[in-house]
Amino acid sequence: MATDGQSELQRLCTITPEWLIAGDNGEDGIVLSTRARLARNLEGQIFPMNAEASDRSALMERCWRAFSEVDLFKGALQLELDSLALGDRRLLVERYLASPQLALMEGPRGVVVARGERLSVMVNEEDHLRIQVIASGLSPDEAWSELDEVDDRLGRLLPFAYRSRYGFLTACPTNVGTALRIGLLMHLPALSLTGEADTVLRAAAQVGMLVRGVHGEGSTVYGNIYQVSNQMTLGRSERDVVESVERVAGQILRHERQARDVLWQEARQQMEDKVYRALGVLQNARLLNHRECMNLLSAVRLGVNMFVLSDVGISTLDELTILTQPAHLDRREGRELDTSERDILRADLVRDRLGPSLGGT
Amino acid sequence: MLCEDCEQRVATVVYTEVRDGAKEVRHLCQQCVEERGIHAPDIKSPLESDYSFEGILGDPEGDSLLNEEEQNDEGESCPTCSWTFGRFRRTGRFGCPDCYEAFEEQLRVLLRQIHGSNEHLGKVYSDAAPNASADDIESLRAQLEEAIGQEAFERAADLRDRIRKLEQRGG
Repeated sequence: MATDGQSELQRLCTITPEWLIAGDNGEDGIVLSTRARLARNLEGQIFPMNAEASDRSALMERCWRAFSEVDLFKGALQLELDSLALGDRRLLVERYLASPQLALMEGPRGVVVARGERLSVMVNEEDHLRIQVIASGLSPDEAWSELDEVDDRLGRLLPFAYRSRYGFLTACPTNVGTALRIGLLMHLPALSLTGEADTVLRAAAQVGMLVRGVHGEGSTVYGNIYQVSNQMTLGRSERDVVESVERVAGQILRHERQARDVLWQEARQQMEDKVYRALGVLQNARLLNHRECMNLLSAVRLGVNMFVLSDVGISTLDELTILTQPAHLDRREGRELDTSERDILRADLVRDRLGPSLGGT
Repeated sequence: MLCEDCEQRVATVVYTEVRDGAKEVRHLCQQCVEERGIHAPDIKSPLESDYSFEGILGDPEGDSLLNEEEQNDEGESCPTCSWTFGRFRRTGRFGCPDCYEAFEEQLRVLLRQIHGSNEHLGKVYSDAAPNASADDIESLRAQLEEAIGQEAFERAADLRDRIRKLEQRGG
């Protein structure tokens, strides 16, 4: 396994994760990514929150050994969070490789990252293992199949806590059973503009979906990007979860497309105005805070998706969405910045990627 | 299903009424809910409605699955990790895998409330490593004896299944 965590983190803060690099998935760029995640615990071991530090260390070692025996983890980056600065832990959160909880808690815990960030595992978060696969676009089936294989391989090396009645046992009973969550990052600017986002997402919540901000529980919605995931894990199979997420995604997609049609037909000039103003600000601003930046990128993304703008690439927007986050900017600069320094650096980065700007650089 | 009141419109609301200690569940449509003058709790924006145990387990003043006595008491504890049901209620988390047996009785109701089910229908884990040795089977047999001794029949059934699987693999 790669051991030089610092140089790898330095590299990460300058690149777009592979899973975000949009494939031609025919979904108008509405679904940015699909993440499938399994919780697994080891039989006979106390759950991390309740365990002694020495037991957590031993368990982590045991997991590292298991990962090294599975070829899917070949060349993986292995990080112990106790030895990382808070800024670097935040970087992992911004890249969806660690949960905010894992970043902020204490004690022996880690992350292993493989296959260009497509596959990763959190060790000693709330459960012993949280294994995830992230794929681009709307691909619950693909993400689950890959995750299923990783789970099978690890399950042969590590004795998972399982009972035929309850399935895979988890620290929190809201995850027990399949312990599978499939979450989509959805970009819903038209529903926000037409004021229907709340209604549509509430309907999704009523059929058992969780709708949250991009970084899960308690996180804020930035740039009209929502995370939609299944809530229930017991009494339905993994296949049921895949299908229910696909079904609900289909409904939300249909509403977002309808809202885009309405904007196109009834408010085209207002919509174009919003898109071009956003681009103008991004190309010229000298100070950009995170929220404003995300909201403007969202408007430009809508413009590109609707063929209003042709000279901005989606990949540039993907890149900026990730790289303009606070911990990414800090790492890029090599120190912890204050908010106003970040705003300057963010604006510089955006102008560099989205030029041409007026009045020089 | 159709609304139990008007029997015309689709029922969209599950209404639970507790009268004289007896619980009655009715499936109603939105219109009949309003006609009955039922004040639905404010539905929060889905973005705020993160899953909460407060709602299920109840806060000390509110309605709860647990009676007052249980709320004042830490309740039973898990023989493996000493986690109590009181701690579970406060944290929403169990202490170890064996807590699922220790709190089985409370869990059945709880799981049904969370998931609408208390039976696993997903992947079957053929747990032990394929090269499980005779020692593993011996150890499982010992655990089985112990489970039967403790009348932990759920666990015993699991152990029996695992032993069978291992024996079959061993040919």
